[in-house]
Amino acid sequence: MSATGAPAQQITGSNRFMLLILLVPGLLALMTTFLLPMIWLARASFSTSSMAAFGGGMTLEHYHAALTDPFYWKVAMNTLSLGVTVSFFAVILSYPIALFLTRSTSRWRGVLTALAVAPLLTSAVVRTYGWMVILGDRGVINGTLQALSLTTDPVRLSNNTFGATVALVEILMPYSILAMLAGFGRLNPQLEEAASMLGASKLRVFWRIILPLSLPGILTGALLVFVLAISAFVTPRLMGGGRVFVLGTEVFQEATVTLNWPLAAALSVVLLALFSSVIVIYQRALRRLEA
Amino acid sequence: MSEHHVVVDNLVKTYPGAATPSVDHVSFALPKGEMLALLGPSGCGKTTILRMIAGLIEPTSGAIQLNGREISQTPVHKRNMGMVFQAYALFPHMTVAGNVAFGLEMRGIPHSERGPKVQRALDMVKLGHLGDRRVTQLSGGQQQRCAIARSLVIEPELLLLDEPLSNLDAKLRDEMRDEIREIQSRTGVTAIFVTHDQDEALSMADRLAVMSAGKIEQIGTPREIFDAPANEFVAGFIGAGNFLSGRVTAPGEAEIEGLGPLRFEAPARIGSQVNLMVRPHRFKLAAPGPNAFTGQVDSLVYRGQILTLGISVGGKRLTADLHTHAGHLPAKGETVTLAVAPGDVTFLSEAAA
Amino acid sequence: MTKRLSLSLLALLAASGAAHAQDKTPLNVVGFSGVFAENYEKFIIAPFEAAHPDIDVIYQPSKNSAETLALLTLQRSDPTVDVALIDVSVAIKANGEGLFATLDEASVPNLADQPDWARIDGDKSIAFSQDNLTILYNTETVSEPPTSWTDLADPKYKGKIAAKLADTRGVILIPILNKIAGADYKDSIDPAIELMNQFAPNVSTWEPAPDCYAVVQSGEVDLSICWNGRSQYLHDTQGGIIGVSAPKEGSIGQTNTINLVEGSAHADAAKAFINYALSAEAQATFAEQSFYGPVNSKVELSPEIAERIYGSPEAQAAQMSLDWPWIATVYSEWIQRINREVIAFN
Ligand SMILES: Nc1ncnc2c1ncn2[C@@H]1O[C@H](COP(=O)(O)OP(=O)(O)OP(=O)(O)O)[C@@H](O)[C@H]1O
Ligand SMILES: [Mg+2]
Repeated sequence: MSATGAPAQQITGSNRFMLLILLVPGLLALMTTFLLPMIWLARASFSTSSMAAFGGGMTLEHYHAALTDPFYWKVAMNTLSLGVTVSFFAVILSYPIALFLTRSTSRWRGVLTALAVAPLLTSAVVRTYGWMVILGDRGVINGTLQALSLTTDPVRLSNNTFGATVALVEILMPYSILAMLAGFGRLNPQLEEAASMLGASKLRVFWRIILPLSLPGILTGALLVFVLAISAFVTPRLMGGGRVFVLGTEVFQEATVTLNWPLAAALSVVLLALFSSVIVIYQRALRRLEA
Repeated sequence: MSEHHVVVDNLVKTYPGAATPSVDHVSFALPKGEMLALLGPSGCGKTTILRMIAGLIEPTSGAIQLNGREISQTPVHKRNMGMVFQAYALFPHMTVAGNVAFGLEMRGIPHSERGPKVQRALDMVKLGHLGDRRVTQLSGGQQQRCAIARSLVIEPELLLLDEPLSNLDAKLRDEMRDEIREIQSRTGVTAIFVTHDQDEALSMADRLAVMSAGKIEQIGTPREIFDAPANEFVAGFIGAGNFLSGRVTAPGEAEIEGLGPLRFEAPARIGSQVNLMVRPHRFKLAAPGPNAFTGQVDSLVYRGQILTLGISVGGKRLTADLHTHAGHLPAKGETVTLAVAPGDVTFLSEAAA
Repeated sequence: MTKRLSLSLLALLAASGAAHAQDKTPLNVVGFSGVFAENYEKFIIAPFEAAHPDIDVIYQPSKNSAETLALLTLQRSDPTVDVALIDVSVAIKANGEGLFATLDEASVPNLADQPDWARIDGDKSIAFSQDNLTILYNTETVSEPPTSWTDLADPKYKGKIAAKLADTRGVILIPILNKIAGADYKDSIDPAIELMNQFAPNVSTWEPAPDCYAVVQSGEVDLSICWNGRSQYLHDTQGGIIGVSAPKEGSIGQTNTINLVEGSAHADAAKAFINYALSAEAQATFAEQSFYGPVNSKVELSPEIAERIYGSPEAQAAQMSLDWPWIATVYSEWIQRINREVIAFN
C-alpha cells in the first residue's frame, strides 16, 4: 500500500535501439500471423470476385448485403445476447472460485488453481463432445431423469441455445478464472481486517471492499469471455444443433458451404468491429473505475 | 481488577501445527487512557497479542475484558476498537475522507453528521485540506495520519497500533511519535502499540511490556524497566550495559574477575555468584579509588552531546557515556579511571555457588 | 564453403528429381477423403497405374471441396495439382474463376459416352459418379423402415431425426420434395420448404456431430438424411446396426466431377487418367465397390447393385438428375431459405 514505487526507468537512445532490436522478431511474427491476414481479410471483404482474389475491382456490395439484411441483424443480436449471457454466467460461476483461490492460504492452493484451469489442456471440441454426452437426449441428465421416472420423454437440453450456452460457459470459465486471478492484485486480507475493525460485517466487507476491489478483475474476465464467446463457432454449431445462428457460424457457413468468401470476409469485419467497439467502451469504463 | 479498562488474563495462542505457543500465558491490565507498549524482538508474539485483542484471531485460551466485560466471543466488527496497521491498510478505492468516513458509515451515522466528524478528525492529523485526494496519492506520513484519523474518528474504546512508524524515515518517525503521543493524550483513548524499537517504546508509552518468546518478561514504566530491569534479557534489550559477574566476598561487595572488587547496594549472600550491570552513562571520570577501574582508551565515538569510550581493563571491556560538557575529554590511548557509585550498580541475579 | 555445399546439394536434388522424372510422370490428384479415397486408390488408380507404368498417381485427400477450391485458388498461377475431384456445385464455382481447362473428345475419347447433363460448363467439369441422398435408420430402434420421404414427418420420430440440410443435402432434397408436391424446382421451391417444415419439428439436430452417420449408429437418433455410398459401406461393416432405406419417390445424387486443372504441368498424363476414370469399366467397378451411381451411359449394373445404389425398381425409375449449372445460381439462396425458413423456426 506504500505509495513509493520504483523510480521510472529512463529509456536512453541506445536503450531504445536495443529495445527495437529485441522487438523485431515479435513484431515480425505478429505481422505475418496477425496483421497480414487481417489486411487480406479486409481487402477480401471489398472484392468483386467471388473467390476474393486480389486485384480486380472494389465494391461495397458485401457490406450492403450484410448490413441491409435483417437476418444478419438478428444474427448479430443473437451473437451479442449469447456473448452477454455466457459472460454473465461464466463470471458468476468463476468469481467465487477465483476469490477462493486468491484468498486461500492453504498449501493446496497451487494444486487447486491448476485444477481450476486444467480444462484448458483439452480442446474446446473435446469438451463440447463431453457436453453432448451429458446434455443429449440420451445423455446423463435425461437418463437420470428418466430412471427416476421424473420425465418420460427426453427434455431438450442440447441442440439449442441452452446447450450452447451451458457448454460455452464451462469451456470459457477457466479463462475468466485466470483473468480474475490476475486482476485481483488489489485484494489484500488486511483491507478486509481493517474494514471489519471499523465495524463492517462480513457482508458489508464483501460489498464495500472485496467487490469494488475485485471489479477490475471481474470486468477483465467478463470481457475475455465475451470476446471468446461471440467469436466461437464450433461450440454454438455442435451444441446448438444448427439452430444457434451467430456471426461465427454464419462466417463459417459463407466461407465453407456457400463459398461466398467476400461476404464471409465482410461478416468477419463486422464481427471485428463489434469486438473493437465493445473493447473500447469497456476499457473506457475500466479506466474510469480505476482512476 | 474492575477499575482497569482493559484486562488480558492468561492469554495463550498456539497456531495450528506449531509445537510451542506463540503467546504463552500473557496477562496485563491497563487503566483508562494509558498507553502500553509491547516491546520485544521479532517473532516474540507482539502482533499475535494485538490481533487477539482485536478479535482478528481467536485465542487458544485466556480471557480479554474491556470495561469489565468479557469480549473473547464478540465478533471483530462489534468490538469498537481502532487499529492502525503497519502497512496502513487504507482502502485504495476511496478518498482520504471516504476512508475516514467508512467507520462512521458502518455505525449508521447519518451523512450530515459524518462530514463534520471526518473534517475534525482530518484536521487533528493535519490532513484537513486533503480530504478529496485518493489515498494512493498520499505520502507515507500522510497515509499514516489518515490511518490514525480513520481509527480515531469512530471514538474507539481501545486503539491498537502495530508498528505504526516502521514504514517511515527516521525524521518523520520522530515527528509522528510525538504527534501520536499528543493525539492519544488529547483524546484520552486507551492504547496498545507494538514496536521493536526501544526508543519508541520508552518515549511514547506510559508503560512497557518487554516480551521474549511469547512471554512477558517485565512490565513497568519506562523508568522502572530501564533502571531496574528484572533480568538479563530486559537489561540487555533495553539500553546498553556493562554486564559484570563475580563472587560475593562481603556484604554489598563482589569480586569481579579481572577487575577487582565492586560494591553494590543489594542484599546478596556471601559466596554466591552474582550478575551485575552498570549502564554506560553511570560511569564518571575520577581519580583511582574504590569502585574505580583504570585502563587505556581504545575506542572513542563522539555523538554530539555524548562521548562513548571503551577501555580495556584486565581483559574486560568497559563502555562509558560521558557528557561532552564535562570538562576534560580523554583522547585515544590515554589512560583513564572510570568510577561508579554503588547505588548506580544494577543487581540482576544471584546464584548459589 | 557453405555456399558450395548448398549448391552441390541443389545439384543433387535436381539430379534426383530429373531421374525421377525420367522414370515416371507424377500426377497429383486431389479428391475426397475417407472410404472414397481408399476405394478410389484401390479400384481406379491402381489399375490405371498398372496400365500406365510411366505415370505415378499421387492421391491427396482433402477435407472438403471448399478446401480443395481454396488450394486451387491459391495455386492458380503455378498449380501443383493436376486433377481435382470436387462437388459439382464447387466445380461450377471454380469454372467461374477459370480454374479448370476444357477437355475434348480427341484427347478424352470416353467423353462421348457421358450423358449431356454430365458434361458441365462446356466440358470443363465432367460428372463421374453420383452419391444418392438417402435415409439412414437404426435397425435396433426402427422396426418398420421408412419407405417414403414423407415418412420423416411421422410423429413417432419426434426428436429422433438428424438432418444436416444447410448444405448440398438440402439443395438436393428441395427438388425431391418439390417433385413429391408436383412442382418444378425451377418455378418455386415453396412447396419443398413447406414439406421440410412438416418434418422439421421431428428434427433433433440440424448439425449432427461428428457426422450424420455416427448419430444413427450411436442410437442418438433413429433416422438421418445421409449419402448412400458411405451408408452402404457402414451397413456392411457395422454389424447391421445401420439400415439404408432408399425412398420410393426416388432420389438425386450428390454429383462428383473430375477436372483438369488449368495450367497443369502434366496435362497429357492427366487427360489419360481422366479418360480412364470416365471409362465404363472404371465406373462399373467403382459402382460395385462403393455404391456410387455411375454416369457413363455404357455401364450396365446388375439388379442387386442397382438396388443398393438407387433402391427398389420403383425408386430406380424415379431417379432424377439436376441441371447443375442452373442450380449453382440458386445454391446459396436455397441454403439461405432452408436456414431462415426451416431451421431458424425449428
Ligand atoms: N498465522 C500464523 N501461523 C503460524 N504461526 C504464526 C502465524 N503468525 C505468526 N506466527 C508465529 O508466531 C510467532 C509470533 O508471531 P508474531 O507475528 O506475533 O511476532 P511479532 O512479535 O509481531 O514479530 P515482528 O516484530 O517480526 O512483527 C512467530 O514465531 C510466528 O512465526
Ligand atoms: Mg508483528
